[in-house]
Amino acid sequence: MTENLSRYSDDQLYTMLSGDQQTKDRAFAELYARYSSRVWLYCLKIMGDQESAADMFQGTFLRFLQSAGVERQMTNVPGFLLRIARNLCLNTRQKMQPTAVAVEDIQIPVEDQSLESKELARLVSTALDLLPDEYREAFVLQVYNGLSYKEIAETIDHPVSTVRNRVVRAKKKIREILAPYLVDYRE
Amino acid sequence: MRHEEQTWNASELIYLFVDGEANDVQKSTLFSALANDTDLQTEFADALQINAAAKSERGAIIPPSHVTTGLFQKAGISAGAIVTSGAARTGAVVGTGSAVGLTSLFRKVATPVFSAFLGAAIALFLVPEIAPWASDSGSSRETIAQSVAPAQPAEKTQAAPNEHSAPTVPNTPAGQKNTTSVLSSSRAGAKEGRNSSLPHQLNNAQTLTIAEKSTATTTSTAPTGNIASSAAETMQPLSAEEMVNIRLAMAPDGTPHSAGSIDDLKRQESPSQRSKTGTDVPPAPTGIVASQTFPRLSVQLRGMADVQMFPHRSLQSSVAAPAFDNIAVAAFYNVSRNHALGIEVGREYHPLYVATAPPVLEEQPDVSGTQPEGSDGPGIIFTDANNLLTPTTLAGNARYTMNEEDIQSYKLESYSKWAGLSYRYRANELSNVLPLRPYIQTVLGASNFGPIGKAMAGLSWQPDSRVTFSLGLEGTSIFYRQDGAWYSTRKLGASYAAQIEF
Repeated sequence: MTENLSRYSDDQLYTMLSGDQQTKDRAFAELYARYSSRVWLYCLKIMGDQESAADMFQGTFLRFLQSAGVERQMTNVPGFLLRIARNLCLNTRQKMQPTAVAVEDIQIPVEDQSLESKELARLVSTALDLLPDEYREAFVLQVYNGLSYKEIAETIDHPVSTVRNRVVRAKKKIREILAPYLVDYRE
Repeated sequence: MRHEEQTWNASELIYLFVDGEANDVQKSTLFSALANDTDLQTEFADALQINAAAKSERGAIIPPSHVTTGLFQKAGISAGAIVTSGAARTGAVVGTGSAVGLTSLFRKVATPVFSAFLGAAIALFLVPEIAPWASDSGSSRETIAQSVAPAQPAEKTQAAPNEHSAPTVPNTPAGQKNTTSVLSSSRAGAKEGRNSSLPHQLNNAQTLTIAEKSTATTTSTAPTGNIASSAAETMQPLSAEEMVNIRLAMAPDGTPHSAGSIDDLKRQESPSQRSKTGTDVPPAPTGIVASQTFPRLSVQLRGMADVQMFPHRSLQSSVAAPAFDNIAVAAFYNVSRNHALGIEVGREYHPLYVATAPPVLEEQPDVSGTQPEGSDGPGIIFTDANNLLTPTTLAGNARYTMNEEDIQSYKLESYSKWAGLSYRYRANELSNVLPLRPYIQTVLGASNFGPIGKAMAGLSWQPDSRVTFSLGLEGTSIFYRQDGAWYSTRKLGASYAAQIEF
């Protein structure tokens, strides 16, 4: 009977990644089950398209797996994963050609005049693409990954005050972008 | 700290407050400003809506299955590991060609299908008369019935090739005449049976009893087949004592008594009985005939007492009469005394949470099952993604708490209504002393959630020829598809049933 690994801590599972193949398989699958959604969401929101996000996402977990071969103490697996994902995503985005588009030129698809919650979520995602990288990242980590300002600061290695500024600015900016649509939503 | 010294305007304080990062002074400042500023109120409402809408995606976006499988391949992790993990399970999209998804589906559907095949296999091996390879054993009633029945009119058997004359019994009704003449063919077996070989004797008797039935309706069909010829060749008149021996050798339901009890039975038969039936012409062995005239139709009313549900969920319903939480009505056609096919409808207490709006889930920091720090209210702790019909991206087996506001997004669907096709096998009585018949039953059908499979096993007791009571174990699997992936929940319970035969 296969042992259920759900009760193992992240640290224990990370250590098991250095074990035999079967143990490694199961430990990796369990960690993947715990954090794949979080990492995927980050990659998707930062990169903006599924194809790029898939590359970053897979690269994140592959690097994570490789890191297990090195003897090291692991205390924060999700933070470690997000840091890997962040480095990959930001490096890739820096290499990409910046596409400057005026906010006024953006046409956000609205399928229904009466905005539903789902539609608003889509609008927010679209508006996110218009934010500077640092704002977008702060917003994604705070809203989509559910991290506190302090956790974000630890992840991106910046002061909490900077994180606060970025999150607040990001949210204000998104509201400005969505202002024409929010009028309908309020009604 | 720097951020404590920073001055925030009221508009910015809105976002700090929404994020739960505002201190008491900042909250006080914000609410003072909100009281008199309608624009600020509007911005506050917008901020809440944007926040809620964005957070709703937290649980709704998962890595596509091809990304998951691709990663596992690149990492050299076996695909089997994906299936056992929660998030991978949610990411396995069935119907897109994903091998992982198909494997997952196969494993879930395999349970009821395997049960059905297992039941059929047990039936074949435990009941050799229905096994095609066992037809040469000479013990198959049904096989013999098919071969002999159209070939046994008394007139024709008299014209059998070896010219044995059929017996003619004076003052005997036509049916009995046929019975007698047919029974005569078992003479050799009957004689042997007095000494040793009772089963052989009974086989012959059973064969010929079936022939007796057929002669009532068939009078001109030419004998065909080896068994018919063989029966005709052995036609010889039986003495009255031999008839009694044959009759007494059979239990009322057609099953043989033990060889040692025949003499006892002969002694028990009273003289009045003998005189009533006639010393020379005993009545047809009704017990044998009865065994072939089992009721063809039956109706079963079944209930189930819950034992356990997987994933675990409280099975205490809120209705006033929990005895009717799990009920089913089945109509069976008895193909033989042991096998029956039927249709069933029923409803079952099988609670599932159905999402009515995207939930906002907050991860519980530990897996101890305790309330996470800072969460509001008692919440509902889900231990598995399968607890939800919209499992979204609940990460594997980690525990989550759903806040009260999110509970509003879910509707508890308590009952599944279902219908399906059923197969049942009931073995013969365990013994004459203990007239219990083991049974297995499988059901495949559809419910309002998705495909449903059931498997039952237990014992049945027939106090009367038309009434049967059953008690056993019943397992149910319900499969449902959500967000492109298949899930299942299972339930185990004690099954009880009453059945009326027609």
